Amino acid sequence: MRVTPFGEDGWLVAADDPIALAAAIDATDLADVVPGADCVLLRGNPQVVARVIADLPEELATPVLTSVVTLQVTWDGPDLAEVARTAGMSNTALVEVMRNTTFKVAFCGFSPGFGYMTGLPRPLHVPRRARPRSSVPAGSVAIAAGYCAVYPTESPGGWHLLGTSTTALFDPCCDPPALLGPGTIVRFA
Amino acid sequence: MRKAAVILAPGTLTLIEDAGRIGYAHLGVPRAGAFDPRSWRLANRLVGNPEASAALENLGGGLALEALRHLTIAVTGAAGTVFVDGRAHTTNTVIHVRRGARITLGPARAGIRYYVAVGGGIDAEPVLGSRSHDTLGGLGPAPLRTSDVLYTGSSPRTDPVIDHAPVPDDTATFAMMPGPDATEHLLEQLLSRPWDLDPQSNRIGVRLSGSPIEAAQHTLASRPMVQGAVQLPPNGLPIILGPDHPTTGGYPVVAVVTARSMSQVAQWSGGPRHFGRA
Repeated sequence: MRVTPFGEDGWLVAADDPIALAAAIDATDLADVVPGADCVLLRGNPQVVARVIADLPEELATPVLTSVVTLQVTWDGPDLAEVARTAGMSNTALVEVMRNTTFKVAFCGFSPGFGYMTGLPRPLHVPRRARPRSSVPAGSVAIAAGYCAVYPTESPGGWHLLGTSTTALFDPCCDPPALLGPGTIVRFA
Repeated sequence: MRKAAVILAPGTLTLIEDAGRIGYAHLGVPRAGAFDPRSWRLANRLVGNPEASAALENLGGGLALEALRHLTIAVTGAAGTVFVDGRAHTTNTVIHVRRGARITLGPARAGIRYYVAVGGGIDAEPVLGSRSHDTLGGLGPAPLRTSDVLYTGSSPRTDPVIDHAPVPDDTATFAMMPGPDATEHLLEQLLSRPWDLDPQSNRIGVRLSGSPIEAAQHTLASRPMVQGAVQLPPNGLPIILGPDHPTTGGYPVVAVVTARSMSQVAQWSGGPRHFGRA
């Protein structure tokens, strides 16, 4: 297991499946357990982190993902037609692909409740927009760099906008506050 | 909750900050919290508050408030003059303020962030366990505006045990440890040259200006970030991540500034600085 120190109280643990690794970690005495694309960050007291890492099993069990969210989407995004053209399919076909894909939140970042979802079919792997928008509306369903995401709040953004969902994705009064946390399965309707 | 003061002018930016939101980074929630924790803790200690109490973080001075009852306050962090009804007081000292008095922070002469602690601790509705404003996600109490009323906790506090605190002289060197993407070539470039402050800097990231670092790798798979991480974007000009940084990022990290030195980074108002090994 490759462990790299990250500052005075952080360690990055490399992982093929960061969700499975995070699920195997006893987070009780740690400040943070944060999955990334290919690693998990553990933060806390050095002795506690060392013990948690030593206690990890050699073979990680595949976690049973029980959180499944279906989001109603209006496919009215301003970039839908351009993405469909780039991918060589019709607008209707693009919407069908998005509706038939099962996504999984791999990790969060960018802003509270912003989940990076994997599962996007290859033809839809498009780079970020050359000119980011200064304002992307909350609820925008967007794709870029092989990921899909839904903007939880209005913010600047450089992803291609395909549609809009009205479901609240982040509410600090809820527990957990983010609807789409790491490991959540997401489908679009 | 007791009414303590009313804001007459917030200055450029005045935020309520405490130790920050810990344990929500996996959901994309920044830690936030006082940028200069050393000064924030000292301000609370001076007025007899628990060290984790919320206090005001003011950028550069210009904050004016009127006491609505007798207050015990302390101002730390940046060096400047604290005026109470026109009478000058120094920072790092306990100041007793009568009801109706007007408190004003003069321009910061050295450093840029003042911390104002009030006896009882600033009270506000906690969000995810913290009273800190997060400038990235907008969580926590909003930035202060004119006519806002400040409340303090009613919890008993101990009387101040000291009335003035010595503060260490800041050195011009930011202590760092090598980051996960450090190579001798990258570290040599970071450590050998002076860096200045880009005025675009804020609580999300402190941007450096200077001679760009040449790097082989430009972007990596997104990975979790920590405060103090020295990221290297494609233009070769490092960014030191501040308390409101996004929780994940894809630029190489050449170094991580120590927590102790982050207090110096928070107070950096410009002028050449070097990095040194912790």
